[in-house]
Amino acid sequence: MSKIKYSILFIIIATLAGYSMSFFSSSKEGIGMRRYITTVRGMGMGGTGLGLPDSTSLNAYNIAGWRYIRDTKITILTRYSITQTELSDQSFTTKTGNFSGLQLAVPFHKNQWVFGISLTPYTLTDFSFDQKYQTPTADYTETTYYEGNLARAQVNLVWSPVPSLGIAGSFNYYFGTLKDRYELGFDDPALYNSNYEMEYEFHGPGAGISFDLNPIKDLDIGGFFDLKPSLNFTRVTKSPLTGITEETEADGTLPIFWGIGSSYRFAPQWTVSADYAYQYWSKGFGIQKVNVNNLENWYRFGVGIEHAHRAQTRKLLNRIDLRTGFSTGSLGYKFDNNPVKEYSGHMGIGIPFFQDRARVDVSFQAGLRGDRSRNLAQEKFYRFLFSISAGELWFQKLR
Amino acid sequence: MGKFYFVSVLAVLIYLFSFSGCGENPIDLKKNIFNPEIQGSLKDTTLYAIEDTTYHITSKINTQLSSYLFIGQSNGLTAYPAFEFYDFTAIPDSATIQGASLILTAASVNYTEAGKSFTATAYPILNQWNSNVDSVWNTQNYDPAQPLGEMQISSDPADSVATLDFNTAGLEKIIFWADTANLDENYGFILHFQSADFLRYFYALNSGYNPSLIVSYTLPSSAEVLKDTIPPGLDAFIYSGQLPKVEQRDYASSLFVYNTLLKFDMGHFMDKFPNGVVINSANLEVPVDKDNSIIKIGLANLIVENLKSAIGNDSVEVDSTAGDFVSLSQWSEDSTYLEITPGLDRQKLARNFIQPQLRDTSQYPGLAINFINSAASGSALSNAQSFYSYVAFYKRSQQNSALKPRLKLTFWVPPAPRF
Repeated sequence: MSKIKYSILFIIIATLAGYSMSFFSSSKEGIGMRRYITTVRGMGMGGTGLGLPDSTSLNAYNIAGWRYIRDTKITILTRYSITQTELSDQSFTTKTGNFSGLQLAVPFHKNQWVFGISLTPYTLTDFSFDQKYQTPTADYTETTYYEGNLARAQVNLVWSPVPSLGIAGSFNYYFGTLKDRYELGFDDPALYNSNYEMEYEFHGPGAGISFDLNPIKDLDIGGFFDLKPSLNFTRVTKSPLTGITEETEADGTLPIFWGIGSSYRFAPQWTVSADYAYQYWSKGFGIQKVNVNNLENWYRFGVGIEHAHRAQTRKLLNRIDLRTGFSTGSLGYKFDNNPVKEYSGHMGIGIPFFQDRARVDVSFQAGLRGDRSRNLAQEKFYRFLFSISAGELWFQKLR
Repeated sequence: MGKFYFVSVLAVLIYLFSFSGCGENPIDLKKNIFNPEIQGSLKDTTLYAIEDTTYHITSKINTQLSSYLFIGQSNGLTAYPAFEFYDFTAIPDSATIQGASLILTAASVNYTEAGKSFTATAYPILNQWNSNVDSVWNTQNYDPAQPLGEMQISSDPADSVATLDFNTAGLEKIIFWADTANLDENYGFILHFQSADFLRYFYALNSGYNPSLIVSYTLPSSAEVLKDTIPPGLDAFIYSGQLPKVEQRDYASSLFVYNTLLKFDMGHFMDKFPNGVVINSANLEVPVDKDNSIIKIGLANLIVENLKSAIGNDSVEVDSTAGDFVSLSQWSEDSTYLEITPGLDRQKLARNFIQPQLRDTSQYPGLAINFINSAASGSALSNAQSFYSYVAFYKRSQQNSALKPRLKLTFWVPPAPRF
């Protein structure tokens, strides 16, 4: 038991410590790049997964889909990204890796009730750069660090009153910190190499609901709706030079977030899926006197297809799940007054083990976001996602 | 349980793998993409003094540790050196003292006009003293009826040594002092003069060119005249006078302790920047009336300190924390004003003096300009000062803004916060 505790604790810490890297996470009016991963299986299918029945892997958004599990499940996700950023006169490549969430679910009343928790990255900011300035006063280099993340923790309860329907309610708790740090470096010793830091802390509760419906055999429809949370927002200004730490508190929120998706198994091993998720990002974050001119509604649309494995076969391709898909969306930000779009192709595999009670999923996503002429920068990104979903009769033995 | 643990360990391994290639930050942007509103901006401004005054500290400076002994009269200062020789152990008890001379080595620093001189006479000191600030100097502390010898003080820089040969009365005094039984009655002697129109500097004790008493004597066994040098046990110079001030000037002075106090309107400045600023560099520019200043010596010891009390306070308090000052020793290109020594001192003025005061601009007291004994050692103002200098600064009431004292700030305005 203690081994499990330590393992979970380690994973939670690792999740919160993660960072990613994108030029488009530098929007000063935003709270970082929106992160949206349903499951790694779904990411292999074009970022879908809201209406994709799965008895092994736990969905981060459509909690009602957890009703398919038969034993205690845990799903943990991690990713590795390579981003090639092209500006007007230079390009650079960055690579980062980080955990992307975990879900734990316990079916405490067979086929009817599931209780679980979830921890999901919500936004991530990490972009650091040097800019050189030549002014009549002095020449200097300013290094800017935009860092931090916002995460969502959930406590979930899933109810399946009839075999064709599942509904879930979630208590959400949002928390995180964004940090803008500035370092000034001067050649002239008469000028002090100073630094300055502004930190934005968010925390507060919210609620969400989700559903999963099988209106007809092999057709699944799922969706979720996250209400506006009530956030407490604190701005902390720190200057090591002045020694002053100032705190300003305000109320804030996150825009309504919803998504709907569907899948259809049109042959014993073939399933197609399509998802659409939307967030009213352009409405801002409920903080008074804050400019939202460079915010845009966030959305993601994806389609995908999966060829499922077949049990008890020796052919390699039939022992694993094969997936592919395509997605498009808006990042929720304007750069150079133009919205930033994203397009990507997806591939993925699933490797079941322990008699289909566990699975390793891997997806690869290659995409393009932004336009150098319209958004100052264009990024080619390559993203590997890994997840492990495992089953265990943990807790259920207590019944 | 085993399966679960296996999965957890596998996840940790993937985690470690995924972090093996973490990104290289920060990116060196060749072209500035982010505009100054987002990035903050470097600005500069000039604040003219809104209050200025001269604050006089009436207590005298202790010259007992001064590197120089002053003698003469110039620019309001009158100074007389005093000596006490008591270590005659080099002279054998059986010796017969034949003569004695005081040798002083002239320092290269002085305020003179060539070809002038005055006569200085040695007189015995009447009461015990340890420094020039002892109360015994409040009244005449020497016996003018007992001249011990005379010496000529020349303004000629070529005269590097001045010698006083003790007369008969002086010799008797030396013999008296050489007897250890009379140690308690050895108060030394002072060099006094009737009038002088220049000031001469001689090296003092522990300067490397100590004043010395050369004693000539014979021993009973021989007619040969032997000589030994007696080092001084104590020296100092007694000074008095008054700074020759003119109207519409503020002063910083060494031996007569005057401080120029300046206050700037930090509140009005900060009102323009509600999100605060970071002061990266500061320079104080104070125009000087050179015709009414004596600043040939000791300029390197003209410093700026923080005021701790209001500028109009009857008992002004200066933050004289050791080493917490900046030097005001740089002449402007046109030599019309003094400014903070370029480099780290300007950074220090910003970091240690100006920035901390911005926390509550309503309480900002201002800056003090004064002399210290040694900027190199940072010794406090109350210690000996080895020079006589005073600087007349133009007050803020001057019509010409080029003559007004001013504070130039280079500061960074942080970008507006996200929220």
